[in-house]
Amino acid sequence: MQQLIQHWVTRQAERRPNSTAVVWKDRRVSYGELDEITNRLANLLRDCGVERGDRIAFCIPKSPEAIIIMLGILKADAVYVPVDVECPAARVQKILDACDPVCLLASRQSATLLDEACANRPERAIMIGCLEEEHLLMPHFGSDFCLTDVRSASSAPRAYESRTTDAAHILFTSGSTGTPKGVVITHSNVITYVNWTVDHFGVTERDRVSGHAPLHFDLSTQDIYGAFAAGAELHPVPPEINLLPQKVCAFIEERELTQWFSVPSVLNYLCKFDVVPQDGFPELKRLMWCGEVLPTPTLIYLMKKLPHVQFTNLYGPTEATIASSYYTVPDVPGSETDAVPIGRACDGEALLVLDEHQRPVPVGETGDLYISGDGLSPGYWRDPAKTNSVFMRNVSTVDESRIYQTGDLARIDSEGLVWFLGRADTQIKSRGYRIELGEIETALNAIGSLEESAVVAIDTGGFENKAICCAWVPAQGEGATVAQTKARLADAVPKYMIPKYWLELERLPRNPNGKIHRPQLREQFESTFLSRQLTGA
Amino acid sequence: MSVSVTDQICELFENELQVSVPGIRTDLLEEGLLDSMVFVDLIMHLETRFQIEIPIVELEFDQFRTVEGIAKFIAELQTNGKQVSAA
Repeated sequence: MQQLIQHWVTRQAERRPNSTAVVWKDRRVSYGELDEITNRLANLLRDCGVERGDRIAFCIPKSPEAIIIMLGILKADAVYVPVDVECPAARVQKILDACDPVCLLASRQSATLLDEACANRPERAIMIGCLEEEHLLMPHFGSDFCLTDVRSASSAPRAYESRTTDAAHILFTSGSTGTPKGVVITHSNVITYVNWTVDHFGVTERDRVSGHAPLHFDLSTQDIYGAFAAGAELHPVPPEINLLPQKVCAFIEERELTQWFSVPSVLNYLCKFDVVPQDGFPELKRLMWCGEVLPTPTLIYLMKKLPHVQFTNLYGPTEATIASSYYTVPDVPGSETDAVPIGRACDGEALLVLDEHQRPVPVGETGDLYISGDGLSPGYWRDPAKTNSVFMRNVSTVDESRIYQTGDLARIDSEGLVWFLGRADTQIKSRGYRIELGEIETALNAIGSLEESAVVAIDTGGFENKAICCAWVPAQGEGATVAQTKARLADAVPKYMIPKYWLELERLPRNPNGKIHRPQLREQFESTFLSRQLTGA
Repeated sequence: MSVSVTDQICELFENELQVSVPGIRTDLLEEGLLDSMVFVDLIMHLETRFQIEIPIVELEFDQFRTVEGIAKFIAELQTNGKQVSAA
């Protein structure tokens, strides 16, 4: 019986040590090598004093080293916290303050960022490590160990103290109050979901799967552990490939990938530039997407180009571990305006559409979408109030099972398929990123150079889906420009949260209750920016 | 005297894309300064600023690896625009 995530790798290493686990550029890492080096890293971390349940953050670009770090941390009975190398220092600092790690694993590419993030927290002693030949030496931190130390640590397998219900990792997502929330994911959360995907999609050791999502995205968990559970080859996609649609296609072609999994924005990009060859990618068996709605025109384009491929829409928030429902599209949609359902619950999960009293709504009616089952996270890291506000007991069931309120609106049709109908709040998805508009407003208020501001999102119909818009009233006298405000905002929030369209107003529109009239603002942005784009292009 | 193309590109990175480029020979890909989001905006801004049309599907990484490289690429497009887009 599978107990911990790392057992997948060890099992493959015992059976097929010379088989390839990870292919990165010209390099291949076998399961045997992966198992051995991660044992060494785990033993080194333990020798340095790491204990069960300790958090270890890592901030390094996608690479075999990043995957070694994730597994090494798990093998040390610790919890890993991925930090995006493109995150602004102020946000990195917030994440470090929140998860309170005993150790931080860095690389040359993240050294400047981490130096800045650590400069303001001198009172916290934190061990620094890197998996490079040379030590990192920065003004506010230097590495305590490097690759040489890892190589000389013991390769003996450890007797793990972790239990299957222990946290494996914490993923930080946008929080409406300006502080990122840490979603705690356990070993059993991951194992339940990954076992379902391997079984449902029939992933085997002959598969070559893409690793497209960044490592701080929970989609990456499916790629990495799905591959390792099946003994398949994982092909992490270098992020720069995304810049050029033809390079994405070349990657799928040259690596002879059998599985592709990404957020819709990448697929839209391929469609927009029409780079997918007719009947191309002969080895490709399945294509999955998750994170936001895939526009139907893109789906039609791909299904016509790749008739031999199985197309599956996966749906689910991070709080319920990667995905909770799936829908494999049976035929090319008949019309570009057809919606695609989010489908049925994955094994071990349930999707519920409930009213405000948590009673099931009748078939076909709109309600709040809740998830229950084995994928549910235990909650947000050290934040019981936030946890209790969305993870609750289902009072309409006998056993009062635990449910998570997704904040999504949905309906269930007569065949039992679930359809996503939008958000009940101001959270949006842009390029797969989950963004709380409130976090952007909080950051703008903190900058203080504007009299007032409001952030809304509009549908652009383009490959970005939603565009973030900021209406602002200039502060009297001071007169910060949009460029200055954007630059200061970039110090506080990731680039994908910076509004694209800016509208200067004398005052913000308000409804009779005195609240900012957001529908009116959205209309103003749509008429100012979108119509101009249509006629001007 | 007009502002040099490399200066204009640096200014565009700084003010439009909120990306600080340390130098015109900095490897933008190696340093992780260009992601797909920034890239799409960069292309859009370059097209507007320099009145050119950039054939994304024919691009190679080395053409925009550095600010210096982007400037060279723009100069080629400006003098040679028709051949490039017809190729």
